[in-house]
Amino acid sequence: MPNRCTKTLTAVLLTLTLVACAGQPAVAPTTSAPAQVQPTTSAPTQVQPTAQIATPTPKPGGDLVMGLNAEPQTLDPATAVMEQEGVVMRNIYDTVIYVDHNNNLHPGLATSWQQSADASTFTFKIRTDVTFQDGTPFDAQALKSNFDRFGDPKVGTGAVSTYFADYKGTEILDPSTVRVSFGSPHSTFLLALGYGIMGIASPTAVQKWGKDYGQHPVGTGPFAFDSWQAGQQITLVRNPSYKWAPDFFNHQGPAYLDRVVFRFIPEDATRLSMLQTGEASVIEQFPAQDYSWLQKDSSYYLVSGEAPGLPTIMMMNTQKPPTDELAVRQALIYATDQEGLVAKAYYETQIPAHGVLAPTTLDYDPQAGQQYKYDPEKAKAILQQAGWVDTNGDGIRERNGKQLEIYYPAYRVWEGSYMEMLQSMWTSVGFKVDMDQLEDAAAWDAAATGKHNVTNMGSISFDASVLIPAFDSSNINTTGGYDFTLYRDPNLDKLLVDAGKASDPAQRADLYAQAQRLIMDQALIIPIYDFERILAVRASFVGVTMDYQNWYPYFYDVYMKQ
Amino acid sequence: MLAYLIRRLLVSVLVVIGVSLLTFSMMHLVPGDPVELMYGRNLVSKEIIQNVRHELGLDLPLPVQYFRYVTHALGGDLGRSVRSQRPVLQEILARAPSTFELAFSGLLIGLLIGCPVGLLSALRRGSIADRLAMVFALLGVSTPQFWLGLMLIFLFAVHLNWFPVLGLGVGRGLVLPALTMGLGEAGLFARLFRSNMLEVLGQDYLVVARAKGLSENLVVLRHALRNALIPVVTLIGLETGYLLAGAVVIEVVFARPGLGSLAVDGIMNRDFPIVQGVVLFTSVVFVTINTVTDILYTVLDPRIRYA
Repeated sequence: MPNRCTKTLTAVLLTLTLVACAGQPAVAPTTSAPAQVQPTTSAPTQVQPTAQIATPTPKPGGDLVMGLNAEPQTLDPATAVMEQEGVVMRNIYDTVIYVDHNNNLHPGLATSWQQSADASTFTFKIRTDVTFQDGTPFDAQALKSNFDRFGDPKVGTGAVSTYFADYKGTEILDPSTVRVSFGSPHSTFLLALGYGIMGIASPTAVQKWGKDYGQHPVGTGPFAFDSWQAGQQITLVRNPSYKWAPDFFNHQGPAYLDRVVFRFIPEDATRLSMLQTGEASVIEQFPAQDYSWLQKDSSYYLVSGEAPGLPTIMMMNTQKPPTDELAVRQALIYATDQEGLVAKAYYETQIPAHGVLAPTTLDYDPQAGQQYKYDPEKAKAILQQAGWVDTNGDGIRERNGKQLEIYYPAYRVWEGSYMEMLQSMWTSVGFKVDMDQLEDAAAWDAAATGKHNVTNMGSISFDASVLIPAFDSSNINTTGGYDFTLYRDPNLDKLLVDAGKASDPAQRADLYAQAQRLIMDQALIIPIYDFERILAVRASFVGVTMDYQNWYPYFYDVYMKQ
Repeated sequence: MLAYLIRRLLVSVLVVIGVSLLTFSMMHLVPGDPVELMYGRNLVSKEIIQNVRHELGLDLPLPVQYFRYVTHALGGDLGRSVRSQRPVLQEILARAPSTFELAFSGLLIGLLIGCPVGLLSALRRGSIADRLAMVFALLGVSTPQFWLGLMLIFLFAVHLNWFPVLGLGVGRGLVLPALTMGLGEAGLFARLFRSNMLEVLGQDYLVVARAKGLSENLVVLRHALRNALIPVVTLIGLETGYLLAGAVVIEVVFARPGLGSLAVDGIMNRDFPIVQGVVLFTSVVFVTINTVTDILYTVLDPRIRYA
């Protein structure tokens, strides 16, 4: 039996250890934000590469290692859904069109294009000097076979499916001209073609590998796929034949870097440590509290931009009391301090949201949601007026003997930094917040079965069309759907359907604007924060920039500082 | 002995089948659909999701799904991952070596540190060395691996630069992860070994051996040690299961591929074939190792015989 001396020693040492552990999450390591968020395109804002000094003629050489927070599952453009897959694919493949940060279209694999008046037919003239990394020539047939894969609902099951809905086919007009037809207007199709996921694959390789093509990608891009060690890394090597880079890059011809390696590092702290030791050259997502010293340290620079689409929001269940009442929903919005949340949970590295779309989204309406500013007193007044009064002094409001209680199934991983803050904000105006910290699948299931009063949602999308799957009432979840507001209003549905079909950009913008205002006036969602994408790069790797979606880094122009 | 082995084999097969059936049921009872989870916040159309679910046979009745799984598994085909479409067996075999390396080296460190410490403590019972050793053992067992791993990274990788952060392979990359695992194991073995030795050292037959004039070294090494080892061998057998699967925290912290993280990701993604495959694989390994340790007893202790 350990005697008193041992016991005391042990107790002291144990206490020290526990104190040291105090700040650590007790459960799963802190994997940060979603691996599945799929940016489509964006009207990007600030790309801030800091501290970049141009050196005379960069020399070829160097291996760049990027730390991703999750491992891609496939590199096939037809089936890819993860943002990490897009990050890798952006370097292996070229897209038909390249888009710059002002949303201007630039030639990629296509040299010019025409769109029909009703935006359902598109004609492309393509380059004739391009070859795939396996030697297959790029031609009209190759492009057609890619579009056919994207448009086939059995093959194109990935994120691309959103842009190829109603695909009728591709006609080859001559060896360097194709015409793509849809059964309905696709007014943002050309912008969508610049999307990092929309890479053009070698038909020879697709044929050869069949179901396993996703593990053996072949494109026309500046870096060719070399190897994939499961669970560890994907390696790309410079494509020596590359000479068709878009005009907005700083050089033409092959890339400078010898190799680009993607490593999969789920733990934020580990990824950051690797950046510090040099085992990684660039990382995505690091702990927010490290932002300020990284910014000041000249051995690193940060590249950032605001992602478009649905920001992180809470969708409120309009079919379940008490959130079936407009007053209650409005009170919840007024009770939410987005600025405070971003400051405390994210050290100001994210952007407070006030509407249902991020400002960088195409067809964003600045008016929608402007009526709501953080005002807890107003929240209390609204509730009071609606008859919700705290009669027994326990801090929770009641009406007719029923408590003002809401169920909040929280995503422990996604919302971990701020769910308790939200709970306390709402509690302070008189709600009883029944919060369950759940893993992804369970939280999703709670929302899908309508058990929630509030549930987390967000989806990156270059344009406002993301509102359709999110708010069109035909998408109320039965076996796959995302409208967790369960709000049924033929007015809203009509606005969304008409906007999706509009071929005139001005008309489309107006319809989406009306939809956004209706959503906010009816208080269907609580805006939380717009996603700011930040990459940290070691200063010895000059020239990392992000594409027009503020999501996927380009490594083509990157070189090592001499 | 042969009859015993045959019986063991049959029981093992039953155990593996039972585990597989239990896992299948549990995965399907818990809410969550792998296809919806795969798409996450890519708001694709319902038809696409239903198509994919149908392609993967996920809309078939459960008994049919299980039956298909078993018939394929018997032929060596463990199916394909729902998410990556890569063959499950390939995924497992790609990661198994890394997990075995970590488990084995962690166990080795645990034994190499834990047993001598336990022995020393037992022989110098009540001394300062004994007390310090037991405090160390307690710390080893109670320190969270996540914290220990990150602390080792910050100290030895970032500040001192002695080892890489990324804990891959079998060279320098294995040191920190193995230490993180081994220190905990060392604590466990130290305490166990110490208490076994103390028990054995008090036995009558040792009194007789000393009375016969045998040196203390011989008494300890030839007679006491072997008997004290038996519970340790049991522990190794049991720890193997934990080591193979429980390494997930270390695997995540050091970004090491492994069966643990494959299983956890599989569970989070409701990737049924992956989870089934890993559980099957791990249970076969576990059952084999436990059979081997049971046979090892007959070597260590002649009194133990199996009919």
